[in-house]
Amino acid sequence: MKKSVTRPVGAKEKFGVNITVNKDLDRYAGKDLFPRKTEEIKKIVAKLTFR
Amino acid sequence: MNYPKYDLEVSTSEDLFEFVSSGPKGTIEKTIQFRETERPLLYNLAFGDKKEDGSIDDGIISGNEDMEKVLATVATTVYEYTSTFPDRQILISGSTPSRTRLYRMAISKNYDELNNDFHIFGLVRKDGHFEKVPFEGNFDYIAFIVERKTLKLEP
Repeated sequence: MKKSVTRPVGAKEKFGVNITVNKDLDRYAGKDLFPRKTEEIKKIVAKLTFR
Repeated sequence: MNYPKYDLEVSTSEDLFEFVSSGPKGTIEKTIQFRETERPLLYNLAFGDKKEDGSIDDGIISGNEDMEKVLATVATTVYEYTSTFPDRQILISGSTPSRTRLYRMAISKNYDELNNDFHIFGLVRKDGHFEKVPFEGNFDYIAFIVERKTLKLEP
């Protein structure tokens, strides 16, 4: 068996979903839209051990 | 994953998606954001309803009777995002334990297909820490981590 790295397919290719780039959404670039969630995730990640 | 899905809009940076849910409550704008965490290559998926003032509510129950379509649409954003950034792991947790259980049930229901494309893990509490373990359908996890499978075996 030979292993090769492949680019995974996206949703457009896999499901035929329409995905349109909307530059208007770029106004949120770098902004945390879910600050409460981010704080929760920080607590989880701080205690996360990978084996 | 053979459910109807909503069309999506995405930002240029491909880390923010929006779609419009449509149902008995009318149209509801939904936002999905992938954000980096304190751990390299681990990104958080956050998802919620956009309110009239532009802020996001990730705890709301929309009641638009399209839950499967909404979850399938969110799942497609994970496919799309990890296609663009295949080395990134995605951390997924619900805003409440019951919502996390809902995600677990959705993963279980579609496990065979998802497992073809992702390594799927659950987070369990152990000795005061959270440990990443292979996903099993009948276990309540704190959260989930998915990682795109990029290695293909060829004869």
